[in-house]
Amino acid sequence: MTFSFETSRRFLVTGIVSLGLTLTACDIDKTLAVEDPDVVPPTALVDVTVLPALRASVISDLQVAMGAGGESGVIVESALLGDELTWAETFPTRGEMDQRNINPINGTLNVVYNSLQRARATADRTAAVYYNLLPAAIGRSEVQAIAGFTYILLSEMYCNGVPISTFDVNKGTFVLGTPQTGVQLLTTALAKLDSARVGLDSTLAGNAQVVNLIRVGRGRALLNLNRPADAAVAVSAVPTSYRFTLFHSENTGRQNNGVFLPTLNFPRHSVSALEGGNGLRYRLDSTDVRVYAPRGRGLAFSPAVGADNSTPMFVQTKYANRSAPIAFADGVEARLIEAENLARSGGAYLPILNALRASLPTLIIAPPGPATLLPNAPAVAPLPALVAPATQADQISQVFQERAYWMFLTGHRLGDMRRLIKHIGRGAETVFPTGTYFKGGAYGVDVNFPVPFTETNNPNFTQCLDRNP
Amino acid sequence: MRFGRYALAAALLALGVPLAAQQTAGGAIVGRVTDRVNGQPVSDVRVQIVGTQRGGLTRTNGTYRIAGVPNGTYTVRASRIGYAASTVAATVSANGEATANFVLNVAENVLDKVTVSGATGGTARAREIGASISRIDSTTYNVAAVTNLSQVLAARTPGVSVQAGGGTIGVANRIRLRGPTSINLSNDPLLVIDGLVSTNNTNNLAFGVGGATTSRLDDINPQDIEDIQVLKGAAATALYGTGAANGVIQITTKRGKAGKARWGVYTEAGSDRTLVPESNPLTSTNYRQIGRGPTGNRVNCGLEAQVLRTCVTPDTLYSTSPFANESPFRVGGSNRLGVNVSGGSEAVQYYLGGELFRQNGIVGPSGSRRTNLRANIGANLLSNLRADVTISYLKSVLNLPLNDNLFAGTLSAGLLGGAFDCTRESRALIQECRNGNDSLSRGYVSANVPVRQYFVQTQQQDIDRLQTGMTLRYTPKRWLEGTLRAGGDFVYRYDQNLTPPNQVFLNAASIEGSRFQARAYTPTYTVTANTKASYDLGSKIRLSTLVGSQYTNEASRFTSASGAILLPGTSSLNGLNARFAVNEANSQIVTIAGVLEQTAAFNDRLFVTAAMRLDNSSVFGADSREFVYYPSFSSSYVISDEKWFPKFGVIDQLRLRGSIGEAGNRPVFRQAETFFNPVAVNQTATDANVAAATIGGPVGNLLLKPEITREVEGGFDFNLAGGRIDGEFTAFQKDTRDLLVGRVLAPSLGVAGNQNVNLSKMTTKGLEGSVNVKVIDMPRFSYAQRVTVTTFRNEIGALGSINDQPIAPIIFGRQVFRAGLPAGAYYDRKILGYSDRNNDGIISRVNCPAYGGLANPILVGGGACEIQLSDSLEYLGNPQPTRQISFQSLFSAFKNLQFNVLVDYRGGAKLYNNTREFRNNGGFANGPDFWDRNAPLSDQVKSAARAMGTSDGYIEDASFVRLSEVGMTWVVPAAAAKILKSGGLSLTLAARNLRLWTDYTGFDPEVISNTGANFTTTDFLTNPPGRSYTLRVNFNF
Repeated sequence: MTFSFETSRRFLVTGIVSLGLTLTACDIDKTLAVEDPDVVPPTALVDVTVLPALRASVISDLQVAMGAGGESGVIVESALLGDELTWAETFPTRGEMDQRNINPINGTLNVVYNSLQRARATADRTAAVYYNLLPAAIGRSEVQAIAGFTYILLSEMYCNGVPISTFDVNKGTFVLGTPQTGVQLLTTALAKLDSARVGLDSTLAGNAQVVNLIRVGRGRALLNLNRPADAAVAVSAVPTSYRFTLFHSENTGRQNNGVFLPTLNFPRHSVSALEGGNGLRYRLDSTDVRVYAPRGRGLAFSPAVGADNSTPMFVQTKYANRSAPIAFADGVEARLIEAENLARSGGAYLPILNALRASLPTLIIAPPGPATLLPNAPAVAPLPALVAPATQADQISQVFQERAYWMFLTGHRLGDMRRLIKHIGRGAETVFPTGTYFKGGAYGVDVNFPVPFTETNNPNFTQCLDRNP
Repeated sequence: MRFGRYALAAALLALGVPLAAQQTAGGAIVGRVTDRVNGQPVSDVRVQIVGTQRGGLTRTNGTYRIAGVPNGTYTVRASRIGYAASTVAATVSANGEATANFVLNVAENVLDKVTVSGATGGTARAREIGASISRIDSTTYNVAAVTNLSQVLAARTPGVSVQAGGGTIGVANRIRLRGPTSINLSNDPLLVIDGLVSTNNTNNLAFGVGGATTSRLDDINPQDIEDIQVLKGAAATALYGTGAANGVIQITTKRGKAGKARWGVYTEAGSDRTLVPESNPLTSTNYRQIGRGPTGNRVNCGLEAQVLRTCVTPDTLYSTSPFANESPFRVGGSNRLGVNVSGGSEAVQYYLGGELFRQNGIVGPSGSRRTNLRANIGANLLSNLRADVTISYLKSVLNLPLNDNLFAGTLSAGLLGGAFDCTRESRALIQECRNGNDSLSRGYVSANVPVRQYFVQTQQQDIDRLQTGMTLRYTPKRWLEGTLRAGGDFVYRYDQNLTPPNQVFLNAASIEGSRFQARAYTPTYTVTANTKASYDLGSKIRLSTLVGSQYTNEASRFTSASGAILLPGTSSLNGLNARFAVNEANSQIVTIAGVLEQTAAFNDRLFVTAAMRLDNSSVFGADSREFVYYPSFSSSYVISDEKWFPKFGVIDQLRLRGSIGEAGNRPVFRQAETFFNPVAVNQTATDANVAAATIGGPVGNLLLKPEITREVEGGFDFNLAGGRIDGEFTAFQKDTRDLLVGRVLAPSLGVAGNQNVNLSKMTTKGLEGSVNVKVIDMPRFSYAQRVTVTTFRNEIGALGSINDQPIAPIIFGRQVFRAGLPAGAYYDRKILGYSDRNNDGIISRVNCPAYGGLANPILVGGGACEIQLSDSLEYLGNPQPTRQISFQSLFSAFKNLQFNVLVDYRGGAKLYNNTREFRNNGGFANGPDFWDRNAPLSDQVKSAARAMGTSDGYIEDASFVRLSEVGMTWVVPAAAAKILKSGGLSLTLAARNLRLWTDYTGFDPEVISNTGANFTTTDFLTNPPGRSYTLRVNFNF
């Protein structure tokens, strides 16, 4: 049998045509379309009905930034760099923080910075959606106030030079920002808080929660701008009983209290005492329920040493479980702002402090726990009144200590330590831990966190403008 | 049958096959194949009419019959592994029989080996293919010495690199063909089994066990494999399209042969021992120096503390070896029992096989139980229609131990433990044994209880895997053939772990107990249809044209549930009381393709092939969703067949070949999209959760398209000295463009991490070859030596830029993606030098100035710095072995004794000995570099430099030579076997991993703790491969 080239050519043409028909007869787009039920496309988030979910996402991202789900957040990492917690484990990235010698390529540094910038971006983006869809809603004011807080936290945590960039989720386009000084960030925070206040009727009871959040935020920003008198005015109307709470939950890992996890669930960080010579007493004040931190009892639930098998483990009792709430802003902070203003201006600050101490049972967010750690715990009872020291400097120190104890492990202390240097005039080596580091070497000189190396992917950013307090 | 014929015709018509008139009954070609030396019949010879797919295998008596052959004159070829192919002309008259007998010469003629294309289903001799395709057939390895496919692939074939995940049963290995191809996407080769795309995931475990992952590649039972073809790069894999840039491992399983039923029964017993030394001073002994501080207080007295004088008087250097105190290891063992039967008639052939395999690991909870079943059935439904059906089932239960990066891991619990052998007796003597957790730990990290407490935790993976497929070959005309292949690979995975309450005292959560389970179903469907026409253009030129199409659908359906605080006595989710969590993840990737291939053969010695594949896939970005073209061109020239070619009396055959082709690597599911993740948020004190949507990551890219690899290769094959020497040599270069780079986005954007962009370029070039030499070839004794050599160089050409802004080097851990360096290169500050300037016998960082913009936190000043580091990060080495040489020796004596030896060398790689670094760094240190002033200064500097921020000292040369396999097989003499009514009886004793020569200071330079990662290469508390011995009995009848 022989075959002509013509036969073959016919076959070839037929085959190619058939292939073409096969590939085009079916709707290729339809063939290649696959379902993706697990996630939400951006196009599904532009309706007024999803605003509650978007608002909730702002809260969620803020919780993660402060410390939830994982073990790295603003509260714990700032406590390591400051004087609240000591490194009792093995991960060197957190050791760098405790030792005040942080490398910009530090992975934990990156995690916390990412989370905080993400919380900021989510709040900013959600506020914009509210403006478009429902500008008069209380949710708009709330998310914008939270946005303002994230700018405050960026200024308190990081060096001068934090850029603020924006991403359009629908278009996929970026606008990369330029480095901002701490003052610029705080100025932006104030502007956002002021915008949040616009159109908000403070006389309506339903708005009080957000109105007071804005007030405390303004007070905190103004304090960071070294305007204590303005700050006191800003918070004057905040009731002492007010509290904006980050509610945690055991329900999902992302919602777990991120301070409980690396202190009680796993012994990574021990409560400090006189860390590096300059730190506050914290765990040594064993009669003060606000900072009560007993030695672990040698049980797995409360090991006597940290995860490094050597550092004595003193366990915080403020957050007793995964669902323990965290006070993000409250009336106590408002009163402490007023007290600081008075102390710095020579006024009668002590009555404010003592009034708070007398009301301790109603003001602490929760009694200490868990029960296994409490055989020798102080009672949840009014604290004895303080006596004013002789000098104004000591009086200011007293206010700062009260701030540290009332707001123990809430992410306030690092900012306060920086303010002691730049606003009160203390030397950095008299505020931060110094000298020989207990695990070898010596303390470094960091008084804030550097912006992580990954930010150099922003061509507008090279490095911190400075590492000043 | 009639219905089936019409149904098939309709199906082929729909797929583009021009349906010809049905063939009427024709003549037949019959014959017999014998061995030239002994005259014995040769079975399993593939006899085929040249230019068609028509043919079959010879029976046990060497005869064959090809029926339904139309009138005409044909060239018939007989080929079988181990014999030189032979051709004979046969003329078939009307309904008559033509006889074509063959007498085959034994020869390892590589050019006449037959390969089957997984992409098209067609067969071809090696001489017809311009690209290098390595082949491992089941006769070339000792089945007793291998337990999984990775071990079969390791060190037997040039261009194939297998990096071991460790010595834990079931752990995935990292397999690379000709080095890496991608930065961000998988570098795993495509797996094709009997023509069907098969799941080949090496990152396949829903919970963490510290670093190890499992691999679906190793689901394949080596006992079922007929042969493996390794297509190493795009030059050979263009017709496989998107997904084939990393090469293709194409497996053909055993087939039935016409003839009497032949039974095979085999059984094995083996043992496995750990090679972790119980008390090596460097690797498995824990240290702590205790002394007195300035005030006489008892302090830790590390070398740096002694320099800083925070320890004034070193006292006792405590040390203990936890594995010697209480070993967590045991002698592992394995048992295997298999049976298979094959046979059939001219119309139907079958292969049925089944196997039970049990293995206990060297660590308490590790073990594996597997049941494999396989049925391969082929039938000549019509004279011009053949159907082959394959079906296999695997039931696997794998129990994994905790290890690597977990405190509860086997090695971690010991190697990260304390330096004190704390027992009830020693507590009175050692103060640290009375301090907290170390009270009774015997050098382990665990609290007050032995390390075996962790073994009550179970980590288990169950696999039910069904692979089934059918191939129809229809030959309506002598010159025309249609192939329809359809099938599926269905993997049902059940991952579960359990921590029983009140039994594991690691932390609060472990005491509460917990339960996790995940179920994943991953079906993969493949449908391929091809038509091929062959025709002569004159007497010397034969042309073939193939047109085809393919559809693949790979899906995954995953759900998991977990919780904590487990009710004692239960091991179910029902017993949980808190932290309930559920998760669901679905994915689906659909790919459609068209294939066109044109080949031309000139005088059966020069072959030219041009081909094109068109692909489109659901994972391409919506804005770039159009067909991608993968062209290829190859040529093969058996120049020694030319009459003018001078053979110098020694050259039997010489072939020159060259090939160029492109293949792709597709983005992963959802990589092109920007999306939000649903999360729950608690907003009240009453734990009332509401739904929220937070932005997920990475950020999508609607322009995402596949990475394209273009590979060029050239080489030659030779056969010398009457078949005593043969080999191959290939030079290749593959260039990948449009590499996906996880463009790290500035965190200030407030989005998750990165965005994948087609930006970068990477080049890998190398040389590879193999030589087989029959050194001694005597009737009673023979010695054959095979040597394979691979060397390659990999380099990232450019990371690319966006808006004229170059992408910054991507640093991950101690590795980097940076232009001009190998992908994943080790990258850190270099130790430029050190000296004991103050002659105190200690190298320390004290007094060293700032370096690289970082402050030294313990700069004291006044003394001389003893360590010099580079100011910037520098290239420290390649994480992948770039030189591989293997020596396979085969001895036989007295016709019934065979010995095989495999020696494996790898060089050019470094390995991050993170185990040693972690034991000599910071607050956790328990290694001699940190504590022992008698440690060599060259060791001390590693720890001190690590404290200054560089791991250079612990990124070590990972070159090694390993005596990988030794085996001995005794074929029982036929007379003795007959007493047992056996047609063949053999006993094999095999051993693996008998000896290792290396300068690497860890347990084993080959391990990597996370084989699921693409490039991260570290030895971190990883269990090294053990030493195993296996005794096997084969019984055929």
